[in-house]
Formats: sequence, structure tokens, C-alpha cells
Amino acid sequence: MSATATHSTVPEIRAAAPSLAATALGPMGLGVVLLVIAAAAGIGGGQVSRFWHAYLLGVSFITALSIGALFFVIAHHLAGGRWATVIRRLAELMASAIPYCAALFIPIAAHILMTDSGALYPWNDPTIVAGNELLEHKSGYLSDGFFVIRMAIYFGVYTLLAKYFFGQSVAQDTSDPLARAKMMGARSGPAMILFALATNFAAFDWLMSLEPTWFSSIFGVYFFAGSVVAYVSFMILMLNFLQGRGVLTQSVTADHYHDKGKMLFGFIFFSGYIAFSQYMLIWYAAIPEETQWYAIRQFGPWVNFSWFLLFGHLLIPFLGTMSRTVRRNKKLIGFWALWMLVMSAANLFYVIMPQADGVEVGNMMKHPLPLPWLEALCVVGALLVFIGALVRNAAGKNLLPIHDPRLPISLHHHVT
Amino acid sequence: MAKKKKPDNNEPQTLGVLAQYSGADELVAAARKLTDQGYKKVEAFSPFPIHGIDEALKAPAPLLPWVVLGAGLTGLFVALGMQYYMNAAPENAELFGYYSPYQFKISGKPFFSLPANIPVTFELIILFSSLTAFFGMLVFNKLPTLSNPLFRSERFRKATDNGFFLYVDAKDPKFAVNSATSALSNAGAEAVETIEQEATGHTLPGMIHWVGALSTAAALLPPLWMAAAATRPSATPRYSIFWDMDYQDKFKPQTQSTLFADGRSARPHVPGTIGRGGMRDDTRMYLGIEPDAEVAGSRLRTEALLASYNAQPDAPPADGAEEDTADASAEGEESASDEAATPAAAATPPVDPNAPPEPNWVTLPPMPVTEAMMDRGQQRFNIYCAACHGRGGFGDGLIAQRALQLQQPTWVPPTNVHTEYVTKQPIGKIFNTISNGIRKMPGYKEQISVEDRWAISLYVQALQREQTAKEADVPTETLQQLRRQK
Repeated sequence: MSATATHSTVPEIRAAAPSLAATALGPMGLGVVLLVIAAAAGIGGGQVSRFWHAYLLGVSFITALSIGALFFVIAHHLAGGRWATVIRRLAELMASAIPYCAALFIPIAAHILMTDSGALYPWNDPTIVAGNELLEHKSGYLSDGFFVIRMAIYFGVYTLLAKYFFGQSVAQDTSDPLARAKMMGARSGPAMILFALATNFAAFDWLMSLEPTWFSSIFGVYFFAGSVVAYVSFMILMLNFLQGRGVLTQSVTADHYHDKGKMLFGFIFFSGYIAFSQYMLIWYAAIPEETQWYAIRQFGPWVNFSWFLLFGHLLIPFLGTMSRTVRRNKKLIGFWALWMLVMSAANLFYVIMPQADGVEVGNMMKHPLPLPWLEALCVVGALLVFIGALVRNAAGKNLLPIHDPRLPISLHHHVT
Repeated sequence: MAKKKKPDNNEPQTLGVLAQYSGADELVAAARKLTDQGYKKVEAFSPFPIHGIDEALKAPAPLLPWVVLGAGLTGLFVALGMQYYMNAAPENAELFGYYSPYQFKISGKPFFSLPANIPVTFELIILFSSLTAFFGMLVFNKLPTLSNPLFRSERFRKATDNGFFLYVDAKDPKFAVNSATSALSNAGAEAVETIEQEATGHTLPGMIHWVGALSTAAALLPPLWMAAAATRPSATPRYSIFWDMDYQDKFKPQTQSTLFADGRSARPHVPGTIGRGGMRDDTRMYLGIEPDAEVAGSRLRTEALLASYNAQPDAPPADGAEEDTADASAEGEESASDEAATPAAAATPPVDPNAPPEPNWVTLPPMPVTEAMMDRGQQRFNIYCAACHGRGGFGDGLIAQRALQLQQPTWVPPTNVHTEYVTKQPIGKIFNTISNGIRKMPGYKEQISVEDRWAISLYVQALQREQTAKEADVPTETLQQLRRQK
């Protein structure tokens, strides 16, 4: 890029068309329609519990994408990151989709508040809680009102953080780039603490309390690690897609793919490491109140799914993303990103679905519809809403933080 | 020079051609030109890493990552194999014959189970990989090289400062001094020079090689001899320096014995019997409490205790529990008031209205009081108690003084035994405090025998009595003796 180039002459520095805001309604609407179809088919087909779990799977999948992106944005500021400045705006767009995730959580909140059904969260059913000493003790925390308040707090924190960093970054395009960069750096520390607390407890509430008598203190980290894997996968796929359409072709180079690939590789292993840390302690101590969660997954029809996850989410992609050649080739790393995005959904499937009443992979095979179609419908529906949100957020915005003081370093980034 | 010569230190020999370039871009361009012409042994030297130099040099992809991968996989199999060998499943134990594994059943887990083995496997993979990466890096870089012929070039010293160099090695199949020199010059070199092997005229004496080979061979003999001896049957017994220490007439814990039908060397207690010294039903002696129906050591409790001796071996209340249960209840009574008495209030603990009633402490030692007992008590007191409480029992022992000097925040001063709160205590309670401890003071029943604890209790009461003693209390003879000493 020569020094005399102006914004209008360099196609690389162009803003997304404002008309995209209207285009975004397409996928978003289609997503909502798919979710409604899933609800009608699930609840109408008598599979109430299965539908709610599948719905939670869909919305927590896209929430994980946003949370992972938010983590990356904050961590990038916190570490004074340079190399990823070219993709920071894209991560900010993903993080800013969090209000849409919150909107998709509203039916769950309504379901908890308005019914006493234990179809999704067993602690919401007073007849289950009554007589169970452990649940009675937990009922102060796991009560519908408090649960919804906490949910509002989590999304409040996420929205605040995402809006702040996105807003400052966009404002940076027009004024005070240096001052804003410094301010975002200074605020990223407290932001990270807020983020960590919110994510930890959100994971406890949304996913761990599906089995209300079970507990694992590492569960928040487990969910977080999976979220970052999902985010990095989505980011690599998005870069592939954008560059295929001639966007950001000059700014994002093989070196950026290389670093993103390293991050994917690292977090694949980190999430496996955390999953094993959780598993081994429980396996070794073999206390029934802890092993119950694994007992469902390790015996009976779910055991094959556990093996599938061990190889599909950890061992195979670990070897697959190890090579430098793979990481520097955007098609090859794109393949593994797609693989890991599917496996991220499978990971959440493994966390959520065994808790649903009457859902067993083995039984599903005997079902007239042999695939987990309801779950796939919910995930695809939620993902379409997420993509719509992404496009809507992008409308009229530059896809690069064009005046960020660290952008030149990122443009010249070379992996040595 | 196309023909390779045998190294000969009597004749100078060209090792390669060195060329200097003005900058990083020029160096990359020159490297590309040279390799395009078919030179393979080209090396570049620059003060900092240069992007694109690897591609320009057409350096072959480094072998090290594959070596590290191999090392990591080796670590994987070594770790799994080692753990499999160390505690293999019983059905495979005889595979190892004489070198049998340790079959320890831990926590009810299978002898060989992957979840338990993963941490060790993980660590060993990392250990092997990182060590191989480090030492492999050294080996592939031919380090440590004590001297490099390039260092003889005055110009080359700038390679760590602002000089950019290309070096074509004479080992290159295409190498010839003239053509290499012109190729480097044509690529824009500022200066070109040949690097010569120094002609020293000295060669290593052949004897050195023989000495080295012989000592290496000799060093192999002991391990070979050990390996041979280890696999060969021998009629002579193993040599033992301390035979009676190596072989003792005893069973170690958790071992097998053919002597008993159940194969266990450790014996369960025989129903209806009590081990020597295990009968501790005298509550006066062992707890300092008068036996009555309310407290530990009462008739009902003692009967329950005796019944437990008759229990079958597998029944839960096993041997050794007798003193523990009795003590636990005595401590339980103590602990309520202990918790109420925080360190600050150590001297006068407040009376807790909810505290359980004090047990019926004995007021006299459960044994005849003699002068020998009093002397023994004084001696034991000075050994065990005086370090904190002071010889006079005023709580001014050397440890207490030192702790006050250091102003230790967690230090609780030892009690002065002459405070009213202690002087009012019956001897049974003092005995109980010595046995089981109180507040920060530990119990001494493991260190001090029961008779000695009574002797110390007696001496403590003597110390207390001494503080309020009048002249009339002292026997006339002793009084006169003391007066004379004055």
C-alpha cells in the first residue's frame, strides 16, 4: 500500500454496504422460521423435553461463538496484540451479535418463569425438588426468578463489553485513534475479569444445572475452551468466505491464517486437556454424586458418542492442524475449521442432549427420522440468526480498524 | 578443486568462498541468484532474521519437526509400555517371568487403565519432545562448534553488526573457486574472499585414537559382565554385607505368608482377647474421671467396650479403638469450652452456659503418692513442660520469652498454672489437659506414659500449693536447713 493511497483508491479499505442491514433480515428470518418449525415439530410431536434441550443447544452454540469472539477482542487489547488487528473488527462483529443471542434466550426464560415444567431444567419442577434434600438446599440459588435475573446479568455484562469495544473501535475510524487504543487497552483488564466471572457462572447455570445434583468446578473453563474453539473455527471460515468474495484479500495473509491455525490447534488441545482434567478427577474419586454425569455418557447408547468426540474433537484435529503447511493453506485450515465448528456443536450436543428425557442416540437410530434432525434444525436455525446478526452489525462499517495504530504492524505480520 | 582431497594439514585447502552484500534485500536477491544457478551448499549470515531468506536459499525443509514427532511418539509408547509393565494385569504377569511387575490394586481401579496412565504419558511425551527439540536443534546446527574457519575472516566479524554475507561451501558439487567467486560478484557482492583451511603442519598422533578406542571398550566391560551375570543361574548365594539386616525373621506390612490359611501376614485380632496393655477400662487411671453412669468410662460404656473385643474380625469396631473412643468423648467435652476460649482469653476462659457439665474429675491420683513420684514429676515437668510454662509454671518458659521478643502474631502465651482458674482445677482435669492438650497446647499422651503424666499432675499441684504456702506448712527440719543456707 503506497503512502499516497487514499481510502477511495484502495479497494481493501472499504466499508460494508449499508444496504446489508436489510439483506440480513433474510437469513435471520429464515433462522427464526426454522426454530419455529423445530418447536412445532418437537412440542407437537410430543418431544417437549427433547425440543427444549435442542433449542438450548442451538442458542448456546451461537452464544459460544459470540463469547469466544468477545474473549479474543478483550485478550487482544489486554496483551497489546498486534498481529490480529486486521481481523479484530470481524471478531468485534461476532461479539456484538450477543444481544441477538440474548433475544433467543428469552423463550427459555419465559419457559422457566411461566411454567413449573422440568422439561429443560429439572430444578424448575417443584415435585422433583420436593423430597430431594440436595435440590432443596440448592433451591435458593436454582430458583426461576433468580435464574432469570442472573441470565439478565450475564447478557448485560456481555452486551456492555461487546458494545463498548465495538463502539470505541468504530469511533476510532474517525477520531482519536491513539487515545482510544490506549483507553481500550486500559479497560481490557477489568473487562476480562467481568468476562471470566460471567462466563464461569453462565456455564454453571445454562449447562451444568441441566443435571442439578451434579457439580464440577472446572465446568466454566470447559465451556469457555469449547467456545474459543468454535469462535476460531468460525473466524477462519468467515475469512475464507470473505476472501472468496474478494474482500480483505490483501490484508489477511497466509501468516494470519497461520496464527489463527495455531490458536485453533492450541485451543483444541486446551479444551481436551480441560475435559480430561474434569474427567480424570471424577473417574478417580468415583463418588456417585460426581460420576452420575459421566455414567449416562459412558455406559449405554452414549458411549459411542463419547468415543466419537474424543477422536473427532481432540485426537484427529490435533494431528490434522499440527502441520505448518496446513495452517498456512487457507483451504486446508478452512477444512479443519469446518470440522471443528461441527465438532463444537457436537461437543455441546454431548453436554446437553443426554440430559433430555427420552433422548438416546441408540433410540434415535430406531426413530423414523434416523438423524438428530431436531437438534440440527435448531443449530442451523440459530446459526442463521447469528449470521444475520453479523451481517446487520457489519452494515456500513469498515471491515478493518483503519486508523488503529497497530494496523500497519498487523499488515506486515510475518510468522518467522 | 572439483576432486575431493583427503584432509591434510600440511597443505592449505579451500573451504569455501565468502561474499559480503550491502543489505538484507541484496542478500536475499543474491541468494536467489546463486541457488538458481544450481548451488546447493549456500549459507547466509545476517545480524537479524530476514524474511524470505529460507525460500531464497532453497533450504530443504528442516528434519527436526519429524524427529520431534518421532520422539513424542516414542514417549507415548515408552510411557504406556512402562506403566503396562509396572502394574500389568494378572493374566499377563507371567509374561515377564522373573522381572515381575508390581501388582498394586489402588482405589479399586483396574491394574491397567488408560485414564490413570494419561498424565504420565502426557508428561513423558512432552519430556521426550522438548529434550529432543533442544538437543536436536544443537545437533542439526552442529553445535557446539568450538571454532569456525569463517572466524578467521576479519570482514566476517561484521555479521553480528551490519554485515550481510553469503558463503558457498566447497562441498557443493558445483563448487569451483573461480566460478563461485564470479557468481557471487555478479550477484552484487561488495567483496569476495576465499576461506582457506589453516595449514598447521600438525596432525593428531595415531596413538590417541588407539587409547580412546581401548578405554571405550574397557568401559563397556562392567555393564556387559553385569548383564551376563544377571541372566546366568548361579549356585552361590547372593553376596550380602549385612546378612542379618537383609534377611530378618519378620513379616513386612501387606505381605503374604504361607503360615496362615488366609495367606495374610498381618493377623486380625482374636475375638475375646485384648492385646497386652490394651485393657484400659480403669477410667480413674486413664481418663482421670470417677466412673459413673453419665460419662465416658461408665459401667455401661465399659461393658460396650468389652463387647467390642469379642466382635468378629470383620465387624467395624476393630482392635485399637478402645482408647480412641474413650478419648474422643473426653475431648468432645473439652472442645466445646475450647472453641469458646479464643487465644486472647486464654487466661480466664469465659464460662459457656451451653457447655456440657464437667465430668466428675478425680481429686487424688489413682496411685499411692510417694516422694519418688514427686521427684519423677519434677524431672518430667522440667523436660516436657518447662520449655513453655517455665520451671515455676508461670508461663515464662524460654520459648514463651522468645516468642514475645519476636512478637509472633499467632503465638498464644502458655497458661500460668498459678491463675485461679487453674489452681481450682481438680488433679483429674490437669491430667486430662496434659494427656489431650487444650487450645494450642498439644496432647502428650503419646510421648509421656500414664504414670508419668500423673506424676507431672502431682508436681503441678505441688507448684500451685507452694505459692500459698506458709512457714508453718514446711517441716521444721527443712525450714532450719533453708535458714542455714540463707
